[in-house]
Amino acid sequence: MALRESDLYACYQRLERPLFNVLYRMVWNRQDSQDLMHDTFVRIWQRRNKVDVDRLEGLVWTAALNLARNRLRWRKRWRTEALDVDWPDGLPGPEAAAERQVQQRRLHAALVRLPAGMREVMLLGEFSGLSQADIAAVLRIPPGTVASRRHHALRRLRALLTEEDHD
Amino acid sequence: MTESNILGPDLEPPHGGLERLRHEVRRKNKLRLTRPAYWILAGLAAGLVALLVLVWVPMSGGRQQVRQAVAQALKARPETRFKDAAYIEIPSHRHDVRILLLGSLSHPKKPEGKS
Repeated sequence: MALRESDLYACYQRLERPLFNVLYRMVWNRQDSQDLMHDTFVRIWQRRNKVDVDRLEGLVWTAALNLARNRLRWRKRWRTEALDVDWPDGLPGPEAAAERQVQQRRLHAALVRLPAGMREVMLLGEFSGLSQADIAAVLRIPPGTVASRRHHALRRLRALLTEEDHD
Repeated sequence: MTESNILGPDLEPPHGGLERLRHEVRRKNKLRLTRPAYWILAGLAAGLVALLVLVWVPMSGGRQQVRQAVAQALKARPETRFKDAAYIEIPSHRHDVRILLLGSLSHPKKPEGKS
């Protein structure tokens, strides 16, 4: 069955928040993250006749991750960096803002040093709500690899954050 | 330290994403509806031009040949006089039959007195 507009919008509403959280931690810019989400859904709509509604969510994740990877490659090529300083935590005031900026930069520095495969498994595992099997399908890796990568990613990220603390 | 703590808070996406998507989808749908009309119009125009070329070019070439032939025939037979016209004799292979090709040398005048 071909994709209908209502299916697309419903999927957007369901995935908007998790998708934004994953993409933001890949590209570290609110506007870029929103643009990537927008482009993902527009591209899917353009291919709506070939889209199976039952596999829509998996397709959204796959397309969004591909676009984010392309964006990162583009930035690397042109040596541009886009890091937001608007990490929201509900704590107003200059001290809280400075603190959250430091936290964000630490996390950013640590996640950037994490291998892309580990980073994606970890972010999807944390924010997407997908099962291990679904994550494996989205990333085209065996389900067992998802679990092991997630485990190693968490250990590595902790170590990197500790290093950042000592620096 | 859990994964949730490590990866920071759950962030609120910027507002207006769905509206932006709706707007873009509407725009794409509109483009899709109007695009075939442009193609049909362009196809019709191209077909019309091709038809005109196919019909007009041989006609104009043929007229030109008849005019030249008539002019040559007039030169070859100075005794022949036609007003705004001339003829060419075509061999008939029968002594009692003559075939004459007549042609006009001027454009027909428009009828006067009509608005």
